[in-house]
Amino acid sequence: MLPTNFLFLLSLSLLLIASGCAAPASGGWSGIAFHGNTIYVASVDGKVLALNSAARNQEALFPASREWVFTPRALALPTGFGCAPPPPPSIYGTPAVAGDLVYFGTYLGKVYAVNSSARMEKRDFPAGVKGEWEYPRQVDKSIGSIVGQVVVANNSVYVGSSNGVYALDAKSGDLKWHFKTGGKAWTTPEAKGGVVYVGDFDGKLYALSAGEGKELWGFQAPAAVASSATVFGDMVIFGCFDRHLYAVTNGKERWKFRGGNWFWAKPIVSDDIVYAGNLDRNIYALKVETGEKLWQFEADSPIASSPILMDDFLMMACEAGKIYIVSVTTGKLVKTVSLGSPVLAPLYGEEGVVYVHAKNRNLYAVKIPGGEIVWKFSLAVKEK
Amino acid sequence: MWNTLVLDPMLNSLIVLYSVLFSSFGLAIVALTIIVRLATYPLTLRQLRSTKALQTLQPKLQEIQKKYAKNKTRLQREMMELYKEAGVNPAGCLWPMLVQIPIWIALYQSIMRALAATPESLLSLSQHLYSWSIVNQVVPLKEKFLWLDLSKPDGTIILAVLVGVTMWVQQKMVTAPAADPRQESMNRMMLLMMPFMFGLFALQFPSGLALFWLVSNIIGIVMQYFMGGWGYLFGPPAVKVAPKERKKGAKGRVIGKSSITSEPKKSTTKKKS
Repeated sequence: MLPTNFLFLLSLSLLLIASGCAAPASGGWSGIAFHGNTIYVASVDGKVLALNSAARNQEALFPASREWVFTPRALALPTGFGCAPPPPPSIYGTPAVAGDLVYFGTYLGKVYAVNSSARMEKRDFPAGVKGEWEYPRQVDKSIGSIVGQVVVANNSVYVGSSNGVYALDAKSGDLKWHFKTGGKAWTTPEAKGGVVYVGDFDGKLYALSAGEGKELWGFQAPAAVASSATVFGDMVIFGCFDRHLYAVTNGKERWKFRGGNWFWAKPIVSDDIVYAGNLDRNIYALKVETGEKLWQFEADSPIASSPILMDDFLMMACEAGKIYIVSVTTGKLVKTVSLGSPVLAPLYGEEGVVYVHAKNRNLYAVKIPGGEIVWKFSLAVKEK
Repeated sequence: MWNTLVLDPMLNSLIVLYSVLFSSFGLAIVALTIIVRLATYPLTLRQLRSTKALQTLQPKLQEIQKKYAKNKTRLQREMMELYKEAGVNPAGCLWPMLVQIPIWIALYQSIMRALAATPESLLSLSQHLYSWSIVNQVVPLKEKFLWLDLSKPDGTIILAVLVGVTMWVQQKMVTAPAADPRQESMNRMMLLMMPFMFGLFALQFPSGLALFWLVSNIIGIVMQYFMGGWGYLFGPPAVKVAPKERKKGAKGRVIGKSSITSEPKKSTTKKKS
C-alpha cells in the first residue's frame, strides 16, 4: 500500500512544479523620460527603448529614425539549483537623461549609462569613446537591487539600492561615495540644494550631503518609508508603511496625515497643495502647510503610480488600468479612460499628452482633457 | 472569499508572530507551523489511526484479492465485508488529509506572500494586511535567519538534505512492508522519490518555504513517534496477536479495531497501560 500522505505530497508537488519551474515573471514599472522629442522607457522584460514620438504618432515601423533598444546582460548571480533560469534584469526606475547619456539601474544591482548615438550605431557595450559605462564594472558584481529611479545632478548619479545610497561620477561611472543605510533604499533619491533625501526600509528618511554622502539629519518614522520623497521649500514629504503621509523639516515632523493604506506613490506638490495617491484607492489633496484635507477622490482600485498635473487637471492611474482626469479645484471627475491593463508606472505629461506605461507592455499616448488614445506602441520589441 | 477567510488571517498571524518573536521570520515560520500542526492534530491522529488499521488488513486483503482475482463482484463484496468486520473505513485516512490540504496551501501562500521577495509582491502584500500597527510597522520583513536568506534558495545543500532526510524518516515510519513484490517495489520507489523531489524543491524555492517543510516534517516525526513509536523505520515492528483472536483460532488474522496487531511496540505498551 502506498503511504497515506502520498496523495497530499503528490498534489503539493504538482502545485510546486507548476509554480516553480516556469520562468520567473518579468517585472518593472518604469515611467517615461522625454528629451528632445524622444521618449525613453524601460519595458517590463528588462529592455530600455528610445522612441521617436513623431514616428510613433505615425505608427512607423520600429526602429525608425533615432530609435533603439538596449538589453542589459543578465548576471550569473547564485539563484540556487533546479530548473529556474536566472532572474530577468527587471528595471523599475524611469531612465534619467542628461545630454546624450541615458542612465538607469536594474533590479540585479547594476547602474548603466548608455549613449544614444552608440546604441543607434549598435556598438558593443560599453562604448567607452561615447562615454558609456556600467557600475560595478565586474560582470558578477552588484550593488544590491535598485527599485527607485537614478537621479542625475551635480555631475553625479545618485541611486538607492538594497545596500544603501550610492553617488557615482556621471561621466566616468566611478564611485564618489556610498552611504550604508539600515535597510533597503528602494525609493528614488531627491537631490536639491546640495542635499540628497532618501527614504529607507529601516523607517528613516535620510538627508545626506550631496558632495560627501555625510548624514546631515534623519527622521525616524515608525515604519518603513514606502514612497519616494518630494521636497517643497524646506519641507520633505513622503509616505510610510504605517499608513501616514509625513511632512518633515530638518528632521522634525511638521504634520502627518493618515490614509487607509500605504502611500506608495511619490506625492506631488503644486500651488501649496499636496496630491498623494494611496493604496486605499484614494487620492488625497492636502494643504501643504498643515496637512489638512481639501478633498479626496476614490478610484476603482489602489493607486500605486504617481499622478501628474497638467493645466487645471490632475491625471492619475489605478491598478485596474483606468486613467482618471480630475479637476484640481473641485476634485470632481472630468473623464475616465480605460486601458484594460494594470498601471503601476508613474505618468508623464508633455504638450497636452499623457504617456502611460501599462503592465500589458503597451505604451499609450492619451490626449488631455478629451481622453482619446492618440497612439499605442507595444514595448515587446526584439533587439536586432 | 479564500483570502478573507483563510489566507489573510494566516498571513497576518504570521506577521504578528514575527513581530513578537524578535523580528525573526525564521522563528515565526517555525511557530506558525507548530501552531497549525497542533490545530490539525485531531485530523492527523485520525488519519494515522486509519492508515494503521488499513495496513494491518493488508495481508488479508491480498489473500482475498488472490482468491477472487477473476470475480470482481465477489472480490468487492469480500473486501467490504472485511472492512466492515474490522470496523475500518477505507476512506477514513483520506478525508482528514483532504481537509488539511487547504490549510497547508494557505500556510504555503502566507509564507510566500509575507516574504515579498520582489517589489510587485511587496505592493500586493498591502492588500492583505490588516490595519493593525503591529502588522504594518514591521513590513517588509527581514529575510535573514541563521545562514539563510529566507526569500532566496539556500546556497548550500544543507537545508535540502535535511528536508529530504526528515521526509524519508517520516514516510518510512508509516510505510508498511507489502507482501506483494510489485507493491513493495512501488513503496520503495515512493519512499525515495518524494524526499528526493522535495530535496530538489528545497534547492529551488525560497529557503523560508524549505524551512517550513523541514519543521513540518520534524513535527510529523515527533507526532508519529508519540502515537506509534518508530513504526516501520527500523523494519516491521514485532507482531503481537491479541489473546481474544488467538482464542478464536484466527492464527494471526487481524480483524476488528481493538485487535490491530501490528501496532508498534511503544503504542501497544501505552494502550495496555
